[in-house]
Amino acid sequence: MPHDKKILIVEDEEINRAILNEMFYRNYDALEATNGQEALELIEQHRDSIAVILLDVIMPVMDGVQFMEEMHRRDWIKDIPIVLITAEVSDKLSIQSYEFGISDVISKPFNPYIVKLRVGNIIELNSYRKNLEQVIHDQTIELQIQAEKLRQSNSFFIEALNTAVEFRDNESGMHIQRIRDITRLFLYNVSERYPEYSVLRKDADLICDAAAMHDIGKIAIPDAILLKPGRLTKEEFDIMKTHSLKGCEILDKLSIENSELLGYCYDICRHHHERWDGRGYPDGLSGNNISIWAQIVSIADVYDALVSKRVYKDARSHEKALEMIINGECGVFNPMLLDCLEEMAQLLRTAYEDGEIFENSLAKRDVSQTGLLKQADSFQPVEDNADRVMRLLEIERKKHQIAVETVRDILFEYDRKTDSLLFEERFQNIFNRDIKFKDVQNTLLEDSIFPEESKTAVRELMEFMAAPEQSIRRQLQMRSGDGTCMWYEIYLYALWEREEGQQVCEHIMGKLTNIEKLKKEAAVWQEKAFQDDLTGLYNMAGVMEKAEELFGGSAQKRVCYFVDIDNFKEINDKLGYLGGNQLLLYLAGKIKNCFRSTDVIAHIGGDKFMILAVDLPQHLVTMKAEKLCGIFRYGYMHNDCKMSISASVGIAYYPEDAADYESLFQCADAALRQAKQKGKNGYAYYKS
Amino acid sequence: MEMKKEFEQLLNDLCVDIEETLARLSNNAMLLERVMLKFIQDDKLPELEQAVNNWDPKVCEQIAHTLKGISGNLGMAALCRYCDNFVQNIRKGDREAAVAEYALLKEEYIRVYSLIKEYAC
Repeated sequence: MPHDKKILIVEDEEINRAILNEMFYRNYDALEATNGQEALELIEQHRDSIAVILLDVIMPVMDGVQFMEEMHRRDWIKDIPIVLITAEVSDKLSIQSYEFGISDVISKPFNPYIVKLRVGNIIELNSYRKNLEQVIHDQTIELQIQAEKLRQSNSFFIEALNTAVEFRDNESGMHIQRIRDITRLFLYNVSERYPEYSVLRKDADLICDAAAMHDIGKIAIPDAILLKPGRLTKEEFDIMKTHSLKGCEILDKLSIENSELLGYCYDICRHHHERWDGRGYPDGLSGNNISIWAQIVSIADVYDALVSKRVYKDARSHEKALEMIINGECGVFNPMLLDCLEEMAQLLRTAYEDGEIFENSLAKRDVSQTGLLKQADSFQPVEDNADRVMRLLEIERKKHQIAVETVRDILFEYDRKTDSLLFEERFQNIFNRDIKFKDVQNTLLEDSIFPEESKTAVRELMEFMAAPEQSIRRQLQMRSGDGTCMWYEIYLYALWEREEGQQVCEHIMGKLTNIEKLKKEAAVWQEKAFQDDLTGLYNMAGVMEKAEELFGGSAQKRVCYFVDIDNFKEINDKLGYLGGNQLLLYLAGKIKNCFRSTDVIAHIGGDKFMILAVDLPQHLVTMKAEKLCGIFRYGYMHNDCKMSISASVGIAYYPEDAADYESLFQCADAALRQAKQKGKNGYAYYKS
Repeated sequence: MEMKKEFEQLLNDLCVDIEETLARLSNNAMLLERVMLKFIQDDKLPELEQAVNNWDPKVCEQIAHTLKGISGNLGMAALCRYCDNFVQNIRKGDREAAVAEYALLKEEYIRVYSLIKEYAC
């Protein structure tokens, strides 16, 4: 059946014409010309119906370049797209051709799938060129919208993180707010007294936001330490101290767009426990090597900690706190800041005694303009009660939202007197069970919610419930309402109370956390240990692991390839480190395509790759070696610049060449050196 | 499409990646066979041999270039690689390396040519 669209094949080799014809005859009528002259004649006859011209370069009578010149001269080239199909792939020719206005250059031997797609695309493109411009315009707008969304979600994320800290550590909520306020007080005071610190006023909002995040690293501190009633042991304190670095890790993972804010956050997170004399942590910085904002936050942090009540200590008076700070009992601070602190003393005391969360009186108001900051009687709430209630409700709502969406824990309580468990409402949704369990000691172990393999953990948890100590944590599988089993962690925490001179425990708090995702991630991490970071192929450790597996027992034939880029160093110097990595990544993909999924393919460092294949027939061994050499046959494109690259391959057999896999690798490596000696772009079998 | 056992054997002897090469010909094994037979009807070696002996780099390059295209399309990877190396060396003006590569090219060409010839008879 004739088609309304025609394709013109201009090619002197009959073999190549036949191949192209075969590719397209189903969808197009194919016209064939053996040189440019014939082609021009055919175009004159069928001009309107030719959708695309497939053009060879080297031909008798009129070659491809002359043909393009003629097409250009007759101004036909913009009506009919031309695709150059050639084994000649010099940059000069490509550039020349594109200058004539051709649509594409495809190198031989071509992949039919790609040729079909590209030719199809070109035909489409030609008719939809205008349409495309509109599409690009639309997409640009779409991208802008997405970027804006990203910015918004970042600020949400910062807020969510802060709320998460507050939620975990009840004391921290107010603490964070007060740190923010004391910091602001300091910023104005310092910048007023010392003009060289005027930046503190300019960036006050950013620094206060950052100050609020100074403890986000505490998210990563275990509950048992963070919420421990009583003093921490040395080991526990060491863990607690890691929160400044953990905070930085968290910040690293957030791609916060506002890099100025991130800079302050990072600095404050990391350095708010440094001290003027260098005896703080984590970096032991001293003097003004610690940024002034980090110094301010650390002094604010200490002051607030002293005057607040903590589970392990009572609140100290304002005077006592100042005395302790100035005497250096909480570490040494910048004398300049101590001066400021003394000057602000009255202000601070009033604020705390009034119990005012002085965010409202201090922070929200432009202190610099009123100049009243130094007067104690200037603290008047500017927010009315309705605002305040709304704000507190909003915080509660956010806390709840975080609890539901981020934390994903289900809290529960065990009452030892009545031997009953009471879960949060959400338990019912997930497990499709009543939230109350009675007669726990007698029934829980046999409950269908626990699959057989979880019984050991359940038994241990029940022992704890019967005779509690401080806390226990177990991982186990539980059956959801729909019957599927998932991994959970159960954390029990005994609440000890003093009653008539005796320590008693009537209640045990519990937390149920879905750790299915974590478990899966753990498995992925394990896999990653055997993986090369860059290419995702196996690394040397992975090869060893796999080799142990492959070489255990059976007596099949194995073959090992070593692949090496001939001039990698030179290319790496030219492309730079990242360009070199791109090349390795490209190569990894190509090598993977040459082999079966059961073969072990590894990137064993630098520009060396290794493949281990089991039971590969001889002709396939050779074929695959050819394929490896042929990866770069048509050059490597980097940023529109073509480079000539070649690879060499060494091959060794087991058991013919080597008795174990380690010597097999050595033989393949030796064969690689032999291949290199023969010249580039080739392969060699191991010869002893 | 079912392929004749003998033809499959030929392709294996030639170290042709059958799957890839057939895909290039829309999985038409008959066409591949026809084209393979055409390959031996148009024997390019004598012409190339003469150009190498008289050292005419332009003709050498042109023939080897054509041969590279055809052998590549027919999945004769080794021949294609030798043609490529040969052409590269000519372009670099390295006659000695080109001639060394030609020896390999010729050996592989004769191997391939005689295998197909044998199959054709």
